[in-house]
Amino acid sequence: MFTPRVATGQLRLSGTATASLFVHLVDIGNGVEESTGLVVGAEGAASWPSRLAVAVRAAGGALSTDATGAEDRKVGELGAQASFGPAKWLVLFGGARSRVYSTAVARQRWNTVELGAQAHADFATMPVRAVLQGGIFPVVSVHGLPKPDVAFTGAAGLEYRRGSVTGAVFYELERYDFPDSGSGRRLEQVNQLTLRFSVRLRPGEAR
Amino acid sequence: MRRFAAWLTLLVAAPVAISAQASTAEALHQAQDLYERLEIERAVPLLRQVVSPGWAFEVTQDQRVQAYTYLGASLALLGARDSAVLYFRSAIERDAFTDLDARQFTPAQITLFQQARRLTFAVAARPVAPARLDPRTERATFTVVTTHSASLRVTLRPIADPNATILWNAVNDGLREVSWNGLLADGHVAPPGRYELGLVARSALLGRTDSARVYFTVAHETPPLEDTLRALGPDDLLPERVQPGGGRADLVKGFAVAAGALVLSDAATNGELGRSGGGLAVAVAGTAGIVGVTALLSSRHERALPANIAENARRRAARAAANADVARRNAPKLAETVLLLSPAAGVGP
Repeated sequence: MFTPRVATGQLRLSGTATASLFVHLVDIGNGVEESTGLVVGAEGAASWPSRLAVAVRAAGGALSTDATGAEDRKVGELGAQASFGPAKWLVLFGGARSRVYSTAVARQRWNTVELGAQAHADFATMPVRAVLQGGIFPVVSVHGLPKPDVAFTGAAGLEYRRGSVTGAVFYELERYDFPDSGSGRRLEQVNQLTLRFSVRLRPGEAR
Repeated sequence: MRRFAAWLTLLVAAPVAISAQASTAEALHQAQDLYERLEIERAVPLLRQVVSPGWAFEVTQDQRVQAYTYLGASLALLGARDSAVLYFRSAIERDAFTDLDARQFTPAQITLFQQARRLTFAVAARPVAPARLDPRTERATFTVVTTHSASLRVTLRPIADPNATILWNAVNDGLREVSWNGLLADGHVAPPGRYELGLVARSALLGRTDSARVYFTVAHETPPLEDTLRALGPDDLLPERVQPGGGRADLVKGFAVAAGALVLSDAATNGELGRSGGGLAVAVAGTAGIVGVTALLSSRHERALPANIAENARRRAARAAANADVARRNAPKLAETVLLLSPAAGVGP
């Protein structure tokens, strides 16, 4: 998940490392197939005094499964996001992402566009920020699959700031319900427990 | 109908107003012609009419000064020396810059005019002419006058600032051009705003004091400057002390995150896919709950928050450093500032 930061000062750059416990659930009519694994990623972000921020992200990892007849797979993704903070507590964002699941014999690419909003509130007694986020995927393009009836995302978590370093823990959910195309409904869901470590690369002023 | 009446009024009134100004100018022109043809006896009554309270037409200050001057000059030619001096004084009192051109008036007239100047004391400054002043290389000039020898003090100050910059402080007799380099007493370029050029003079002959003020505005013509960062407000800084009430709010925030994670993993997920990801949500919810409770427990007593204090200090230092950089980048541009002077209303005695 992207968590853009806004600044009151000059251009601020930040780098982020992420590690996610990735749980991928799929049901194509033959029962639920669960794959889990560790996905690591890196993110670079730039923010301006106008509360505008952009970020790019890359992540990848291996997922294993115990499901009968299913294969272990790899997952990789690239994404970009732009965000704007109309209020101190609110950030609106939009982004595009390309995620690929690949096995030894097959490869499936998910291209998505996401629109969402993030609300956050700083703790008064410690340098912690509470974050709640929600969004929809108005565009989900998967080869061979129709447009899903339901496609949304949500996240909840905490950020802890210490100097120029920010640590965060988030629970994130992505849900896609595809319509029945004759061979049964396809349901997909991604649950992630994500740890993030961000470092401000160029000093600036946090808001 | 009402509009027609207004137009009719304008049509009737306009020629009258034009005629009023033209009549005074024509009378002066006629009197000057008579004077130059040495028909002094005919010129004097006409000039007296112009300066009399009964004159029916509008008379500008310049026209009145001109009339008094020619009256003085005419009476000087007629040998009425005292009356001549009296009218010269009337002209000088109304405009301290009044003078006689030695090419157009006789030595006797000029002698009487100088006598009138010695008997009349006034100080004045001409309205500031529009000017463009580069403080690095140029000077602005103000023209001032005392009717005779006097100690003169010319000062300049922003309207809102009682501290004045002294431009001249010495004996003066007659016209003087006082220059200004665009700097105030503190050595800085005059900031934009409204200014007062003040004159105070004390006559060396009569022991009287007179003063005058002229107003003008200063604008800056500067290359576009980079904005500095605004001051950090309460919203930009973290609380530096724990308030007892803050812990309760933090508990709510922690529980909100916990609830958000649990709702996402339960109500927002597809039940047909099971609850395999629920453990991840429970981990985050538990963390958020613990953090919220910790915040509540740690805020039972007011205390300092060293981490927030350090973070605020970092933000202040970052802002100061950024502003110092901005100021450094702006300095060469500020050095190129050009002052734009223009006259302003409000000339006082």
